[in-house]
Amino acid sequence: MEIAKIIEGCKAGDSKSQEYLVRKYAPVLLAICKRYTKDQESANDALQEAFINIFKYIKSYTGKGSFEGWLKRIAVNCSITFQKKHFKNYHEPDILHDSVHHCEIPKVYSSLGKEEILSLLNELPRSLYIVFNMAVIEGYNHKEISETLGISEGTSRASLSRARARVIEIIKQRQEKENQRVNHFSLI
Amino acid sequence: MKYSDFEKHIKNELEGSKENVQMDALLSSLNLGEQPKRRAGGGYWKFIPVLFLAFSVLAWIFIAQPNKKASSYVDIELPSQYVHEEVENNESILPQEENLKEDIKTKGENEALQNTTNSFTSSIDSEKSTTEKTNSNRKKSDIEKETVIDKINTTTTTEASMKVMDTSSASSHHESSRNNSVTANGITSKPMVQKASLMEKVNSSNSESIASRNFLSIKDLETTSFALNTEEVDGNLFSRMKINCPSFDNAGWHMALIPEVGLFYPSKTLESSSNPEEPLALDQRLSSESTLEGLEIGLYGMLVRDKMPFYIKAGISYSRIAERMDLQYEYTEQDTTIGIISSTVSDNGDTITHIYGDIITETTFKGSNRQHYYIHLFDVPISVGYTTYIGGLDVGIEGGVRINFMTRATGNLLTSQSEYTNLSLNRLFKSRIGLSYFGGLMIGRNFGRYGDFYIAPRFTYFPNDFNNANNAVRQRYFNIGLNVGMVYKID
Repeated sequence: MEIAKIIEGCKAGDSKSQEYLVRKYAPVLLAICKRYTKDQESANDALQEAFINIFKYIKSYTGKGSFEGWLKRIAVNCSITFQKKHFKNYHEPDILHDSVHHCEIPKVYSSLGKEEILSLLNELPRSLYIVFNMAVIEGYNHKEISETLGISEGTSRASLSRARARVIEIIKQRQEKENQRVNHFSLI
Repeated sequence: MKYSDFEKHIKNELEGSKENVQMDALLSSLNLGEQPKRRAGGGYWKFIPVLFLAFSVLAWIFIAQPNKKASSYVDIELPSQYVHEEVENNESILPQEENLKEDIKTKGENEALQNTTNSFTSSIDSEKSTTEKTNSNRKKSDIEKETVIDKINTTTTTEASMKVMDTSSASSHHESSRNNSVTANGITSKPMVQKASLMEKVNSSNSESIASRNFLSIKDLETTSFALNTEEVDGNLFSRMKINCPSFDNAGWHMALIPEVGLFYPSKTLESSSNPEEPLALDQRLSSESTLEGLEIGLYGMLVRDKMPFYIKAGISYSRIAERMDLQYEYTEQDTTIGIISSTVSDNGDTITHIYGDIITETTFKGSNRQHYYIHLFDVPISVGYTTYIGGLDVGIEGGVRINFMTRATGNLLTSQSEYTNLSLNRLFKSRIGLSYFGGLMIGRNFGRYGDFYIAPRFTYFPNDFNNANNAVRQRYFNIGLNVGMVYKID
C-alpha cells in the first residue's frame, strides 16, 4: 500500500490505514522513544501517546517534508514530555569550545553495536543525553531543540558541547580501564 | 578515528534501529478508527435555544403574573360627584351610597365587585365602633375626618382593601402603588386628595381587591361603610362573602432590556502548538502582527427583584477582534535563460563563434505589505451581579460565562514567510470556541426621563485556543474593555 493512500486513509479515520501505519512505523518509533525515556514502560507510554497525536494531527500534515521525519518528530516530542522534569532545575553550563570534533578516539569504537552505544550514552546526564540524541541522531538544529525543550538556543549549544566532551571523557575512562585490565592480564 | 566519524557511526547505528513492539497491546490501546473525543463543552451551543426558552418562561412567570390578575379586574368609571363632594354628615351619605350601588348595578357589575365591597366594608365596620368610642369627646366634623383616616389605617392593618380611583390623582397611581407604607401625618392637611392617595396605597397592597378598582371615592368609602353597617344590622346582607386577604407572591420581579456597546483591548498570546508541523510564520507574526481594538455589541435581558441587590442577566452579543500584519519583505528571485555569453572571431575574420550558456538574472524584491484579519464571535453571555447604591450611583459587580456558539474568521493571515492565507477560504480558526469567562464592575446613574445608563469595565478570559488543528500557531486572548449600556425597564 502506498504511503500516500495510508495518509489519506488515516485522515479519513479509516481504521485499516491506521493499523497499517502503526504496524509499519511502531518499531522505528519505539526505538526513538526508548532512547529518550528511562525504561521500557515509559517508552511504551510515549509510543502510545505519539500515535494518538499522530492520528490527531495527521490532517495538518501537508506533504511537505518526509512523512517518516514528521512521525519521528512527534515521537521525540512525546518522549521528551516524559523527560521534561530533568530540565526543571536545569542550569546553563559553561560554553565549551567545539574542538572535540577533532579528537582522536580508538578505532575500536567504530565497530560498536547498538546496545554498546546506548550503554555508553546512558552514562551521560539525562539532560545532556536528550540534547545529544536530538542533535546527533535525529539531526535537529539548535533552534528546534530549544523550541522543543523550552530552553534557549545557547543552552542547547552548550549542552551539546558538554555532552560531546563527556562522551569523549567516558571513552577515555573506558580505555584506561581496558588498558589497566590488559596490563593486569599481561602481568599474570 | 576522529570523534566526528564516531558520531556518524552512532547516527548510522541508531537512526534506523527498530524495537520489537507488542503490536496487539498497542493496537488495542489506540482504539483505532474512533474519532477523537469532543471536549466537554463542545456541544453547549445546542442548549442555547433551551436556555433562551427557559429564561423567557421564567421572565413571563415572574412578570406577567401580576398583570394577569390585574387584567381580570373590572374597571368602572365613577361619576365625578363621588370624587369631589364633601362629606358633611351621615344623613347625606346614605343616599350617595345608594347611588353608588345603583351605579354599580347599572354598570353590570358582578359578584366579585360586591365581594370586594363587602370585604372592605366589613373591615371598616369592625373598626367603626372603636373609632367612635375613642373620638366620642370630639367635635363631629373632626370625628368624621379622623374616622376616615382611622378606617384607612385599619384597612391597611387588616389587609382588606378596596381600590379607589381618584381621577385627579390617577397619574400618581403608578408610583404610589409601589409603596405600601402609609403615614397619617400628612393626610389631615389636605383631606380629600391625601385620603384618595392614601386609599390607593392601601388598595395597592391587596392584589385581590384590585378587582374592584376605580369605582369609589373617599366619600363613597365612608358612605359604603356606614351603609353596609346599616345593612349588616338589618340582616348582614353580605355575610356569606369572605374577606380576601392580599397575596404578595411573586411581587417585585422586574425585567429590563439592556442594549450595550463596548470597546476592548485584546491581549493576545501566540505560541507554537504541540503540532510538530513547523509554524514558519510564528516569528514574523510575533514581531509584526499587532492587535487592534475590538468592538462589542449586545442585547441583554435582566431580571431583578425588588429590594434584592442581585440580578440575573442573559442575552446575545457579537464581538470582533481585529489583527493587523505589517510585513516587511525582501527576497531575491533568480531567472535563468540561455543566451550568447561570448562571441569570438577567428584570426582571419571568416568565422564567428558564439558560445551559448545560462544567463542568470537576479531580481531583489523589497517592500511592505499590510493585511488585516478579523475574528467574529457570537456569544450568549449569562451573568449574575450584585449592585448597591453609593453616593448617587449604582455600583455593582458582575461575573458570568459566555457561551460561544459561532466563530468566524475573515481576512488574510500570514502562514509562511511571505504568503497570506485567505481565512474565508481556508479555516484556520475554530468554528466554536466554547466557554469563556467574564467579570467586571458596573457604575450606573439615573438620568431622569432619559433612563438609566451605566459604564462597565470588564475582562474576558478565553481558556481555549482560537486556532484549529490546521493552524500550528496557538492563539489565545484575554480581553479588557469598557462597555456602556442603557437600562430600559419593561416592568
